[in-house]
This record gives sequence, structure tokens and C-alpha cells, in this order.
Amino acid sequence: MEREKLERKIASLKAGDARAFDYVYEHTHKPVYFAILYVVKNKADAEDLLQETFVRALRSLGSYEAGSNFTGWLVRIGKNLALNHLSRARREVATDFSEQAWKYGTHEHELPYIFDLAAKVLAEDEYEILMLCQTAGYKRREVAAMLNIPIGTVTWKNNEALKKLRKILEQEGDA
Amino acid sequence: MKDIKKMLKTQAKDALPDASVKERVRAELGYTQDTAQEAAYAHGGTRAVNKKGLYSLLAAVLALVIALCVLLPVLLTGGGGTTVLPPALSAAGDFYAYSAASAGALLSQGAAQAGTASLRRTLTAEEQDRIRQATDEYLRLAEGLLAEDSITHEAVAVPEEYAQYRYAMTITAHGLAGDTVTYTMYYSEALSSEETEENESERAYDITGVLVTESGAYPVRGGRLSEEENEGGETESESELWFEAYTGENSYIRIEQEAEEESEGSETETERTHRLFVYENGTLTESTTIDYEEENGEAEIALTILRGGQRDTLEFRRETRGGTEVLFVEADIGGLQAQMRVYPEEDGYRYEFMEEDDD
Repeated sequence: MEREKLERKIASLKAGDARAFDYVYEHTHKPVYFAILYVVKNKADAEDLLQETFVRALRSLGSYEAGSNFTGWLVRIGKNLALNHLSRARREVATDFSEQAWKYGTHEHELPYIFDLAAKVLAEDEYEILMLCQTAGYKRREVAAMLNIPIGTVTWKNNEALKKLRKILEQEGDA
Repeated sequence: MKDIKKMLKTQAKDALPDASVKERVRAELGYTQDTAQEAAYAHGGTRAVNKKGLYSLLAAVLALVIALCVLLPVLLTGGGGTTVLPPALSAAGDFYAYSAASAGALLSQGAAQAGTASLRRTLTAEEQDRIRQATDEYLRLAEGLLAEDSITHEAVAVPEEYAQYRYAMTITAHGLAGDTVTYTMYYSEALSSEETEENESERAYDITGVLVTESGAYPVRGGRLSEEENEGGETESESELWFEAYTGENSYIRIEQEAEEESEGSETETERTHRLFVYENGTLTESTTIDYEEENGEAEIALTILRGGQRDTLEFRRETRGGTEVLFVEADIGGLQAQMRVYPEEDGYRYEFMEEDDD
């Protein structure tokens, strides 16, 4: 039902009704953001790339095929931009010998440790599902619809991700 | 497992993207913010209010939201959008009692009065005044939410002038000093959607009406969504409630409430969040998040206020000192950080600012 409403709002936006923007952004930006964050691991960069993703996507909304999973389309654009950003940053690092600033970011944009750890130790799908279920506040059913996977898979991956993080934190606690 | 979930949830604000990203996208694409304006206009908001009136209205709508939390589950037992008046509103009292932390009773009325100035000089007197003033303002806003048993409601007959609405109720907010403020809500509600699949169920309701306060009558609209999900031994239930009251053609306030209960084995965690938004002339000018969390009988309340580019935070918890129940408050107001205790006294409340090494 929500997906149908989202498609209606996208159609409105495509037809030039800017009032639909709020709904579209609010219902799609978090999965896109976490997909980007997993790649760049820096909040400020992820926010800039999120902005770029939406600007590019909405400017070329005509190329989106209605009903073909808009969130997935945005995520693909976001990931491509993130990977390009990473490649560019790596080249810059090689040139100016800076200390992998692209990887760790500046202090003011540091992520809380648990998020940093999750991005480092979890597989991409586990990370994304965990963030959407536990941090973004989506229900497992909504995450399943967004990522176009069965709800059982969402539950399984979410639990696996939690177990992995708990195990590592316990090991760190023992050390 | 729960600790990790809690960490992810409580630190989410530091990991999620800033709200400014959306505005940057909007600006870059040249989208204007007329959605809110048109919505307000469509709902007939015509009344302009000053700042004081705005906070009174916020308190009124907050009281309404809390009252509806109790009322709706009872009202909606009729099902299918056709409802009956509640035979015993107090039947859902436990639900409300949970959300209304008794800590707030200490805050509600006295905080609005000028308390005796503090006595310890971690900060200058001027700085303490600034913090106290800000705290007072925010606490008045939260009064309806926080004070235990401070809000009562009663179903009443619908008068002829509001005959277009099916129900009426009065909501009375009681202050500690014995003062009361009464609001009346005339409204209709209907089941807007219902969905059940496997181990999940979801129902949504729409509400439209008029909220009458001492400062005037405001068109309101709102909705409620309840969801329940069972997976393995875990049960999660969530409910959302939102309300908008229109104060002018392009101005309105919106209050959202989310409640979540999660049980796993014998452990149960409940969290409740209220978000308050003030839109003036179509622009969001202030937003406040009130988080209420209770675990193992200990309650904590946290307010985060965004206004004029400034982010303030206030956190509260109850303490007993020398047999007296007091409130421990941690504040960060405009970069000024303070810890204080608020003592209830006959003529109001006394603030005691703490030195860094106080326990």
C-alpha cells in the first residue's frame, strides 16, 4: 500500500508537482543513505553524496520506470556515486599523501563506535538491514518491501548482524 | 542483544543524516515549501496566535494526544470505523499512566514559576538564569506529557453547533497548584485502512475535528496507526498518533507520538517519543523531541529542541534525597552545560545547580 502511494507521489513529482518531494524524500532517503555510508564510512561525505543522489535522480526522473522499485533505483545511483567518490579520494590520497582522510573523516564527523564497527564487520546486506530495522525504525515488512527480499531473510540477517556485533563487543570486553 | 539494539537506537541521531540535506536538495532543485501552506489553507486555519498562545496551543494539543492515547483503544473497539462512546474511559488508564511519568509532576507547575535562585556557582548567576529560563519554557511545554495523573478526559454530548462531528470530549489538565485548564474536542473518526498478513497486522484511523481552548477554536486533523508483529518468541507492537492544529493560513503545529513495546522472554522494554513541530508562514521554526524510556522501573526523559539554528538538550530523572523526591536535570542550553536538582517546595520549586564533582 505504501509502495503504491510512493509511486503515486513519484508520478506527481514527475508531472511537476513539487509538493510530492517531502513524501518521496522521507520515504526513501534512509536506505540510500546507509548504502552510501557503508561505502564511504564518513557521515559528512555520506550526506553530501545523499544530496547529490537525490538531485541527480530527481533531475532524471524521466528515466525511472514506474513500478520498478524506486528506492532500489536510488540506492543504485547512490552506491555508484559513493564508489566514484571513493576512487577519486584514493587517487587524491596517492597524490598528496594525506592520511586516508577519506576513510576516517574528521573528528567532528566521526560516527558513534557501534556504527563504525557495524560498517567494518558486517556484510553489506546485513549492515543495511540492521540499520534500517534498528536505527531508521522501519518494520521488517517495510524493509523487505524496500529491498525486495522475503521478510524471513530480513529477520534472519537482522538477527545474524546483532549476534555478530554482540560477539565482537563481548570479545573486546574480555580483552 | 537488547543492549546493541538500544545502542543503535539511542545513537541513531548521531548517525542518521542531518535534516539540512533535504533542504539542500530542495533548494538545488528549486522546490518551494508550499505544501504545508496549502495543507493549512485546506483545513481552514484562520486564527493567528502570538508566541504565548502558541505554547498554550501546543500544550493543549499535547494533552489531546495523550488523552487520545487512552481514548482511542477504547473507542475503536467498535471496529470497522463505527464506534460507540466509551463505557469506561479509565479502563485504558494503565496505558496513560505509563506514558505520564510521575517525574513530570515535579516539573509541571513550579517550573513555570520563578524558583529560588541557585546557590552553587558552577556558572555565573546570569548563566544560571539563562538556563533556568530555558528550562522553564521547555518544561511548560512538556507539562501535559510528564505530569502523572495530570490529564483527565470525559466524553460529553455533542452540542448542535458542532453537530457535524460525532463525538465530543473534554480534556482537563491539572496543575500541581490545583489550577486546571479545560479543552474541548469535537471530532469524527473512521477506519482508513486495515491490513493483516501472516504474523503482522496494521490498522489506521483518520480523525478530523475542532479543538476549543481558552484562546479560540482550531481546526484539527490527525490519525492513528497501530501495528503488531510476532516473530519467534519476540513480539513487537507499535503505535503512532499525530495531530495538526491550524493557527493561520500558513501556520500550524504538529505533534507526533510513537510508542513501541518489545518483549523477549520475560523482558519487556517500552519507549515513547513525542515530536512537536511549529510551522509559521509555511516554514518549520521549531522542533522538539521528547523521548521517554522506562526499563526495569527506571524512567528517563530527554528533550531535544531545535530552534533558530540552536540545539538544546534537557534530560531528567527522578532521585530520592533525604526521603524527598527530587528531579535531577542535565541541561545543555546554547552551549552552557549544567547539572541541577529541582526541589518541590510550597511556593514553587528551588533549583540547585551542582558543581562538577557533586554526586
